[in-house]
Amino acid sequence: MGEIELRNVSLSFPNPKSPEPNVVYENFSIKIEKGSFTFLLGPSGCGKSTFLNIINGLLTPTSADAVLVDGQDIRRHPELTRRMGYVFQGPRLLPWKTLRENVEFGLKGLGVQPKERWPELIEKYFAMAGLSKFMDHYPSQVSGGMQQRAAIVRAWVNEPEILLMDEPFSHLDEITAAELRSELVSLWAREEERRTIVFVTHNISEAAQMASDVVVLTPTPSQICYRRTIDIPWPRTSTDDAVFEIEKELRHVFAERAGVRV
Amino acid sequence: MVALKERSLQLLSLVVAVLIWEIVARAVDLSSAIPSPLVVFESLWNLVTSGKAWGPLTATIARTLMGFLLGFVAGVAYGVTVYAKPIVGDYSRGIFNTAMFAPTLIIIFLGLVMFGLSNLTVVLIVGFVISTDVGVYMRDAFQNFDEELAAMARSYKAKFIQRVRDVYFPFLVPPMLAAGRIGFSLAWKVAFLCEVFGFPNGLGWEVRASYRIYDMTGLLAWLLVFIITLLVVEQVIRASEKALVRW
Repeated sequence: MGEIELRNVSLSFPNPKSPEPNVVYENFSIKIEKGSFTFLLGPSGCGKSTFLNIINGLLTPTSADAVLVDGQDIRRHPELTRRMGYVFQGPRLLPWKTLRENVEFGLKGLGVQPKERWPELIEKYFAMAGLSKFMDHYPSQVSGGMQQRAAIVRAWVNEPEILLMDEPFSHLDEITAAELRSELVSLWAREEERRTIVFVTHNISEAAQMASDVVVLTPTPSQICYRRTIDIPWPRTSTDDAVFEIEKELRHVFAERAGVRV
Repeated sequence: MVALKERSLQLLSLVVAVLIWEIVARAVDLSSAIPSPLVVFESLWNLVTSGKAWGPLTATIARTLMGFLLGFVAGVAYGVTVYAKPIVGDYSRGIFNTAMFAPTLIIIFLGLVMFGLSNLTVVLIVGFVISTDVGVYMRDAFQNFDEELAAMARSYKAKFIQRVRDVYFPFLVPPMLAAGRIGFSLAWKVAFLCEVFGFPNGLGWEVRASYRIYDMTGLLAWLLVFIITLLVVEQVIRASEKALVRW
């Protein structure tokens, strides 16, 4: 599992300030390959997070020919969304639960991992995130970076085939963000069967350093204005010439096609 | 250490208040108007040790508790309903705000005249007053609810029961405890006032009886029973707050 496809999706919201609705998508189509680390780039409000919410079943499009995961429409097979993990912009941890309990909340909710495996999985992923010593701390007792790591553990511990990430590092300081980026890429790259990650950002350097595929969206109604595969091996750093060239190209695309100078 | 210092200061302020009381009592030198605190404490001691305090105290506590429970449950239910169905809030906001700002004394008079002097009337009056205050408090508390947590719970496909137990209820515990503390002290006062105005028993009646015969010592002793009970309840709620809100 891991291939995602939207066919002719339209979505609009009522606009309180105008009789005309806010059209986010109009006949929008996209296909994301299984096992790819796809970055969705675009200006603010262009419907990047909306895309994740549609895939995760949190938002229903106004109309759509298909919202497919591995060829099956999630509207008819909502159980498919249980095979996904979602990491949000902020950690969104429950403040009244310890980090371990927060991770258990995700395990219980999705219900894809048998309960007898929970302790082993929790140990494993907390260790991978370097949080073993902090499992029984409340979110308020650890740093923002650690909270975000715990949020990643909550998603990853379910071993989802698809990981949806909505600007997960944008609230962190640059050093912590850089550390988490490289940890995430190495975690993903070293797996035998790589999961699909859809990563929403408007940080071009982040995309150039991490992505296997980049998709750039226009302002609403959103359309794909550019997409490419990046086949530079990981680990990458922003000082690599090849990465720098990609970054330059993406900045150019943003200015020319998405209408945003960055 | 900080808590100890805080408690010492609280105790010190009480001692200072009693000292001022004693000084004023000596200065005025009219025991029928301002009796010495020592005399009042002696009277209080007699009330407690003779068992005379318990009857009125339990009568008032029973009315307070029943009215409080009624009002608290109704108030929390109102807050939850407004969160779930905002339109209920739009329609009820005016009524609730008016009820909250209506003088409590008028509500007590109206209730006693309309429904008669019975235990049920007191319970209903207390319940009504508490429900508006707790309801408005809980309704406003929900405005601080982090909707992103609800979205997170939905993305992790948490069932309704899991969402209520792990997301909404823990969020509501601190405001419920705060509303409970405010609500109980209000319920206590309302029940007391109801008794002052029309009951042959309870703390309120005892205070009224003392007032009628100008027994200031008795009046103040009964008032102390009232205040001490409230302080004890306040401490119990604070302790449960510490135990329940650890994060």
